[in-house]
Amino acid sequence: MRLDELLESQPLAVLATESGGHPYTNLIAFAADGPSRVYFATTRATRKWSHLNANPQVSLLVDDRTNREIDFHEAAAATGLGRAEVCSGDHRVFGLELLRARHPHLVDFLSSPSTDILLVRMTEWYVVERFQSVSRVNVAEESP
Amino acid sequence: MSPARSPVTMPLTHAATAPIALVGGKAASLGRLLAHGLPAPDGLVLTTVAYHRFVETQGLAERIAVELARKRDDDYRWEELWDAALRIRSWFLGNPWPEELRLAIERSLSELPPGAPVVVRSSSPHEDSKERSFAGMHESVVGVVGTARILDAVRAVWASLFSDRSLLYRRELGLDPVRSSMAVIVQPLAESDRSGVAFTQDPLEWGRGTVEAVWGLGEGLVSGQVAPDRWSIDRGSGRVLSHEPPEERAERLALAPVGTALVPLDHTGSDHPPLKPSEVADVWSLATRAEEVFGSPQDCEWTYDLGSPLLTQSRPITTLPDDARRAHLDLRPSFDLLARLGERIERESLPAMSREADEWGDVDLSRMLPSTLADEARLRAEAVTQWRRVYREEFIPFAHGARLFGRFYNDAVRPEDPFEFVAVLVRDAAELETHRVLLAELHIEAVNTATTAARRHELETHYIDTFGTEEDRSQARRILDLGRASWRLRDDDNLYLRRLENEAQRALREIERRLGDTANVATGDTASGPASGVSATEEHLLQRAATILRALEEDTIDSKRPTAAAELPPGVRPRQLLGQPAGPGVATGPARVIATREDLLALRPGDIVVADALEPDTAAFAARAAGIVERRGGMLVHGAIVAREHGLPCVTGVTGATTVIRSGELLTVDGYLGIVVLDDV
Repeated sequence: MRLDELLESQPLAVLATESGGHPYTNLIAFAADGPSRVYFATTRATRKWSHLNANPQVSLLVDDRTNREIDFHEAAAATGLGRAEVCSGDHRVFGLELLRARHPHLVDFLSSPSTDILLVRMTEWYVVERFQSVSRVNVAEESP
Repeated sequence: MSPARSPVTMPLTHAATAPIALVGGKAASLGRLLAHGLPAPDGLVLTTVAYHRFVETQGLAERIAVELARKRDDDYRWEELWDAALRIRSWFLGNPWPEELRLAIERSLSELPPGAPVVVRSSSPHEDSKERSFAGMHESVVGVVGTARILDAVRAVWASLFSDRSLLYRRELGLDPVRSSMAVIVQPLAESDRSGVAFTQDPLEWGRGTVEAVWGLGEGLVSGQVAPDRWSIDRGSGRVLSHEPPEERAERLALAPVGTALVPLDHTGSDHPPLKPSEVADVWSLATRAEEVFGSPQDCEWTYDLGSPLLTQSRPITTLPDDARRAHLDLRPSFDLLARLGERIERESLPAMSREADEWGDVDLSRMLPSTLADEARLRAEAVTQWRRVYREEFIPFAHGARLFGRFYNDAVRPEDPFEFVAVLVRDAAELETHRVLLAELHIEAVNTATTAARRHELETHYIDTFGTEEDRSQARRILDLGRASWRLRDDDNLYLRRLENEAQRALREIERRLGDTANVATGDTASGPASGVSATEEHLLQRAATILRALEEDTIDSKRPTAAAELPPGVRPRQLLGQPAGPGVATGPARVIATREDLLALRPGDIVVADALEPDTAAFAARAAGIVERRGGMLVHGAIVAREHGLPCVTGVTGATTVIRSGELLTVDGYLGIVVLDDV
């Protein structure tokens, strides 16, 4: 399945948040624990953090494009919907370790007390391949 | 040769025919000397493949690249590069060995004589061509015993690719340190009682060569700590043309429990040159054989090992002037030099400054005759100029004491936070009392402080406990004492200077008063004070003295001119500014940009101080703030010192801080990550 491959291979995703009715996008370093859980980190003084604090509904884009023409037949992209939450306790430790393993050079940023670890609980992904082949993947977990 | 098939280690003898990119220049030339049967210590090379495997582990290479890309190259002050170098060094020492690599190295090390001390040296592929020399630029660790310590030394040598001096030198040469790599040589340590260098062609005088020798380890000569005996030699005949002894032979560099130390020479040593005439000839003959092997004049290092000379290194003589490298080499602090410097400062300079300020303070300038006043003013101006020179040449370099301790602490304790050592240096109640008294003399009331005593004590105990023997512990204590002296002086020294400057200013005000009175007399207005009856000659004298004093006021020690950030196009404002983390914590509050003393007085609790360069006296006010942002970067700028001692979040090295940030704007200071956020943007 292309979705798992994307989540395993790609270091960066586009995160869309919302504020005042306006979407707002960022590049984030992420680590996925299966298709229904995506972790990332941000310091609390960022715009995305205040957006999420007011509205935790997010969209993510993960893709393997190379920014060349061949992307149209070769690249895949997955657009996901989910809800973000700040991790604490064991969740935080788990997310931090997962992110550290994926992005070891970010260790200082990840372990700073000013940084929050966030978990996005995904409900669905839309996977696009071969330019216009699209499938929807339901990944919602039972409510905890 | 593909990296995958290239070996991680090889015997030094094989390095003769290996690519320079794999073994580095030093290993290749030592390999060639050995292959030609010249006496040189055999050993082991850890190739650049080993280096690459190591820095690719745990993303170390990218972590370093990110650290060095925080600011534009030109925006780094040397102090910040030093801090970055310390961070990178602690990452190297803390980065885990990939199992396979460690085992491969351990296997090769087991072929060296067990338990014997070794020397671990850099061999960089970019070192030592005819165009440039990296001699002394990278670290060598002398006298290492045991596999674990050798592995640590290897990481330390690798890290020296990113030492402050190496970063500066590479920048000047246009080399990208992130793309550099380094091979490492591990050799049994020669039993050196005498060592030195030999140039087969004197760079200044055609047809002549030079042999230089010192007692003890060669590192003493190469690092400039021990002055050598020098022989000038005729290249054609090998005859000694002259022998120039040093001013005195007082010390030699010897192995110490940790690293090396200067040891006084006994009479035999101080009365005799390290080499007898026949030995000078032996060294010269070895050097000329090296020249034959390489086909060009050589700069050799040699040492006497059990009665016969060995070549420990040979490289082509650099044909270009090498001022940059020499200047950067001067950045190397040595414990002995710093300890002496500290003693001189604390025993002589500071008391003399206090005495002078006291004497000047007791003088009733208003009762002086005009000509005496002019003399007094010039005397003060001269003295202040003199003390400023001492400040630049002695006090500023003494700040290396805190840095030296920092490195030593990190090597011993291996803390997670490479700046943990600062908590051991921060002043205790007694030391702060001295600071308070100094401030009081300048009519500044210090903020009550220091809840840091418990942590200081705890870390100090832990630090001392990492050393096994009493000898090591006492050395550790001496280095701590040096660090503390350096730290407290860093904050106190310009208070001493400030008192003298204030006294010089007082003389200027008095002269201005007299001249003002004269003006008043001339216009017939006598209401503003007693007419002092200053003659034209006296007025001239006073005017000249005033000019000198005014020039003194303009030329201060710390340049106060703010450095502007790069001009931003209209409509562009920064949202996040990057600096160096200099005091842990996060604070949000209105910015208070400090341009004048009045700005400081207007400071309210909860404000974030934004300053170009805080001075110790202004820093005392800053302790009332919620956070500190300073344009100057580095762990030892006053903003950072105050922040550490008062537990305030602090970011230093923020380029253009005072020109970009406006008073009243909401700021968030992230002192963990070195980020300043302009929250309203």
